[in-house]
Amino acid sequence: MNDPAPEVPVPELPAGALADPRFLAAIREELRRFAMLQLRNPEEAEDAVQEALVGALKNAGSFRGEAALRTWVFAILRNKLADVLRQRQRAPANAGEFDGALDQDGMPSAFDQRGKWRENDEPSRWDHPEKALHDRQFLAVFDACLGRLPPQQGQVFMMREVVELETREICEQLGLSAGNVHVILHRARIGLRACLEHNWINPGAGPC
Amino acid sequence: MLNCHEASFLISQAHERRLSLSERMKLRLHLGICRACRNFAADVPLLGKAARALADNDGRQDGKKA
Repeated sequence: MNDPAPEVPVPELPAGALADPRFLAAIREELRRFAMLQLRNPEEAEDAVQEALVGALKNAGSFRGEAALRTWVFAILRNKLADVLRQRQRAPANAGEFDGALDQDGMPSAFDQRGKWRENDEPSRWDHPEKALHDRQFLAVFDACLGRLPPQQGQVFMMREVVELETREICEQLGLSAGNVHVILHRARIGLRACLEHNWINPGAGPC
Repeated sequence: MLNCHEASFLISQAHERRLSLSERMKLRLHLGICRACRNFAADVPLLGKAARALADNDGRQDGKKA
């Protein structure tokens, strides 16, 4: 056999940004963090990331820019995560994890005893919030606000809003009642809105 | 009459389930007199959009540096 040895090994993998090891390493880490947030289990997170990347590699060549590719890989990962969460045969015994959210039978601290917004936590008007969605700095603040939520609130919020599971599916996953899920989502939204109030919308207004 | 805590709970739940007629009427009455809850109601959908934007954008900054 005298195949001409190619100077550069012809990549079996598609061209495109995923062939760049630095890009691959960076996006892998981001995917892993995102998967961990959802699954809270390193092995399952790693598996989901692997599968998403394999799925992505099949068509990676058809994506021009890194940004488009990134969006697409994350979309694949989200589908994988939704599958894992749906299929997970997890004993619903983990309700204990949620004690923190449900114990406090009182109200979230944003309200006073009569259930009125505390002055510092009263949502003020947020002008042109849609613009913020394209603002990196805003997204960094939002990320930090998510990170400050009690973990179970962050998890349920992401399951609902990013993985887009229905209440029923979240209940099945986590062994919670629909009422629990509604309370947790309410608290998460109050917490996120308050964090944005103090750090983005009206930063002079209050603590933290 | 709902207080703000109860009103905000209904505002939040409206994203997961259809509120009953009576809940909708009570909420509407409250929103009519409460600017803070109106602001909260306007922003709840934004929180979900921001989470999805973050998931889509996550790490783009790092990518650009590389």
